[in-house]
Amino acid sequence: MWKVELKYILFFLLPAFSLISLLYALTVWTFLMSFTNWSFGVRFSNLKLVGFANYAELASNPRFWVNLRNNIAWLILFVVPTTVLGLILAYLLESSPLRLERILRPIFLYPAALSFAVSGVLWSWIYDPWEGVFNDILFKMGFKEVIPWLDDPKIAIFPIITAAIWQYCGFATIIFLAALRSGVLKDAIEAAKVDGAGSARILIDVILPNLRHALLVVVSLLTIFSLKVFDLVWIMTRGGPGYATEVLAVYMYILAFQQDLLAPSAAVATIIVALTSAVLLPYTYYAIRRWSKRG
Amino acid sequence: MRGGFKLIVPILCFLILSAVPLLPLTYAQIENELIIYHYYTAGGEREAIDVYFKYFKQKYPFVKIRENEVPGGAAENIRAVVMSRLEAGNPPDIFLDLAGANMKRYVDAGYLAPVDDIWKKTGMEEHVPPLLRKMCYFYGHYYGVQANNVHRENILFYNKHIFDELGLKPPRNPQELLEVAKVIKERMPRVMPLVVSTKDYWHVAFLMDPIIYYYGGKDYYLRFYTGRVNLSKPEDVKPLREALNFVKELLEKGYLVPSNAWTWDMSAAQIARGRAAMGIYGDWALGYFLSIGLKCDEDFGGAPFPGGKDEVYLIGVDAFMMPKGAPHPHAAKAWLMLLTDPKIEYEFALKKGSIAGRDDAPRDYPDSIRRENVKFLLSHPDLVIPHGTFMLAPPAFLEDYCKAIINFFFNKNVDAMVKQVAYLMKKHKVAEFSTWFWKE
Amino acid sequence: MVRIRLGNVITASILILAAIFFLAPLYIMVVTSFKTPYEVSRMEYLSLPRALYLLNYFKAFSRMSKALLDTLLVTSTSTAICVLIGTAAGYFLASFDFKYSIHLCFITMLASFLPYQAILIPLTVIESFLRLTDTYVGLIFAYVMLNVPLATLIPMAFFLALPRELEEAALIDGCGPIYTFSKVVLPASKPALASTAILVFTSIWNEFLIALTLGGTRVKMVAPVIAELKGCYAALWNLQMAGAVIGSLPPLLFFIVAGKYFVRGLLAGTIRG
Repeated sequence: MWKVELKYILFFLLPAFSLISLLYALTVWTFLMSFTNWSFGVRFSNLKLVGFANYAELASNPRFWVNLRNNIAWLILFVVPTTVLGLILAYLLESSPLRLERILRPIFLYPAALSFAVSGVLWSWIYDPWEGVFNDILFKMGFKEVIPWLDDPKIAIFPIITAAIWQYCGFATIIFLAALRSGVLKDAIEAAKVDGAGSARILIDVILPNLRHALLVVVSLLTIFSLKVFDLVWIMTRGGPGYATEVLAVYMYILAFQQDLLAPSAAVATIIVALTSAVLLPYTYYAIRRWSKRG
Repeated sequence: MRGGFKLIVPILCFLILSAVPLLPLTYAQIENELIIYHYYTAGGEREAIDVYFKYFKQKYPFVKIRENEVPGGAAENIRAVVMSRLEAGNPPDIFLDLAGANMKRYVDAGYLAPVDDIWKKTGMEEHVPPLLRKMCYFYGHYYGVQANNVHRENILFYNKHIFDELGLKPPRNPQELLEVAKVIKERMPRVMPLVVSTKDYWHVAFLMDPIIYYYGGKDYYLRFYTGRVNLSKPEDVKPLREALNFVKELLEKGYLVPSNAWTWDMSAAQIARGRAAMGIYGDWALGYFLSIGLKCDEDFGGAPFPGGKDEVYLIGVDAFMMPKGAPHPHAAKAWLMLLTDPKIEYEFALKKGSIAGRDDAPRDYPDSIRRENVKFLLSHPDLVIPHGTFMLAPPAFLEDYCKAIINFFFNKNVDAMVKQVAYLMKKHKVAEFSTWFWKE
Repeated sequence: MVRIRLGNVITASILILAAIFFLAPLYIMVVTSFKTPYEVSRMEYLSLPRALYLLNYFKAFSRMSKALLDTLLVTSTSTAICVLIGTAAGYFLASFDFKYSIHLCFITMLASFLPYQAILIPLTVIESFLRLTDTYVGLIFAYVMLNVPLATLIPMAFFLALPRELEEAALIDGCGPIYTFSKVVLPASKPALASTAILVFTSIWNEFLIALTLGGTRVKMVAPVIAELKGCYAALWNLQMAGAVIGSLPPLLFFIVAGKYFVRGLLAGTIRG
């Protein structure tokens, strides 16, 4: 609406976008650093380019592949249940009386307001093999074995993912709920009802197809989260036992701050960004197009 | 322009708010300060370093101590903090870290200032055992001063009540360990015979090192952790394989219980509560047990492992170091001088659970564990050996090595582990890194 | 009149079960925070404490007091700055005839999802070089930089949906964009400002990694302290839970009191079009 003049650019745009540019600049720095031999004690004058050596090193390290496998496990074990659960809850909320919904919505959403530190500590306790609620309940139900939740490399990932699902489900629910409430969808449902379609039909043929956009949003965001998750894993298991539950972000931190291997750490960071971009770029492009189409 | 007013107020607030925290920065340039970084935050350690602070304040009342505690065992967190300060050219006056391989990293990067005069003037050179001194001696100069917790890192702590009830004595070698564990498992099935924490990944090294020492002997042990064993040669790989097979046996029989839910003190808490019987720690665990109110030789006990005729003293040394370009070098040196006083050293050690390193320090300690340690230290100076994983091998190796051990706990594949160790030694260039140890 | 139908009953049951799953951990956390160590060792998680054992809170609070103050300072300042400059940028993108607006929008959106691991190390190096590590300014700078994209997008979405009449009236009256922005649009955008502020505040208060790396001893942030509490008071769950409750109060309070703004902000940042 307004005409662009230099002084307006300076006043409105410059502060925010200078910071955003800095954000990008630092990302490029990380990217460039991953091709050097940077580590503790290597001054800038001694910095050497080593090409893809850091990446080759990572590729030949089984630990890296374990991390990748874990991130993919997060993709499957976290994204899918959270999405499905969010969808189910949103649908149920939508078809329940208003008062119930008003009470329940904040109940589902409040975990998103908590720090990962809090949920990490909380769920670590719940899953503690000897003193935790979970095993206690199982014990009272008759299980004689103490299930070593956070100790067994094969199952240690489940407590962490449970905590993540608990925290993010409400978020998915809210998004689906908003989509279910959209005017377009409501009109379509009305039309179908007039045509005499039953609930199940409506669900399958009308509602689900129209949730495509919301589905995309939720899955994209959860996928990005799966790729960059750090806090929960670090607090609950430190990536252990050994590196069984380690994810890329945790390995990146360990490389930089415990092993002083800064260049390999930058390489892992770059890989995280690359993987997230694979999801991000299409999604953002899609969202912008949709946005601009609506005016 | 009234419209802009709404924006000016918050901007002003921000400027004021941001200026306030900046003010102390200017005060830091005042001479009478000591900026010190350390990690003595846990029970026992806190009281110990307060001893040093007390004496320092007595001697130099006009120097303000700016203390920076960075909690975390095995000096992990402090490294990141100090590293960034050093790299940015903003060093503190004094910082604490492990001596040996860790200190060498700082020396190699050119960040530490030599303190030969302190070592020579205060008689440290004569009164500290040779291998201990070596931990602070690089390329012909002394750097830093030991905080003089000459920690013994191979103590097997045990729950005395359980041992008394079952009529057991602390095991002195792997075979005895197996027997003791067997008895415990049979007669008290709900008690875990031997525990180790994997959340503090470095703790598993406390289990492996004494075992490797037992099967390889002193020479092998030193060569192993300085990368001088050739794991493709059968005689070099044999002790490692025996050690791994022993651990495998412990795991398969359910005698060893590693847990990722525990940090080292939580695993020690299991022993304190009687849920576990034994665990291998450094003598700093003594400080922990005392701080939760247990009594040595009544509730818990500690014995060197291996003990008996294979007894060895694996040392871990913390040292306070002075960087080059420290803002207050006089205060820093004064602090280091304080550390060298044998009587103050002794008082510090009392609280911390360690023993003083100087042989002219007072010698009576209230518990049998430390009395034994002192006796052994003085009578067998040649068996006082640096704790391999922490003092000899580069820290990056430590992380990967411990993680490999933890993986071994689960896959129990000895061949894969041996291969992994050889790979890690090469990857982290352990041999090149450790040449300092073999020089004179 | 609500007719009881089977569908409704099933729906309600599932929802209530879900609600229990979501509430149970909070309940356990709060209940445990008031228990004595003995009560905790009895492992009756769901039972109420016999009395409100407040010592836990005293101890936890004394350990956390500095962290709470520091975090409050850092978070409030960062939020204020973020909202200010983000709203300005958002308004520009929404209401100026700028041919690159879409591109800037794309860049901003991308930046809002960028995993911060990408910049953690260079940020630490730069701040170290500028002597900003472990300072208030350093943390505020980092947090503002990380949250500005989101703080731009949410107001922008809001402004795009705002009816043009307001601004057009101001234009007719001869007002410039800066005046219009500050005196006309902003007062009418309180919901958007609230949403942005709440979301940014919550995300900074709860943030862990940057707080861990760039904070330390002079400035302590709440999230690492809560995690540390787990280490220091090993296996003293009652204390840890008290600490967790204390640390969660500000964002939770925001959420309870201004929940709908929280929701609107979330939606605007992700789905609005």
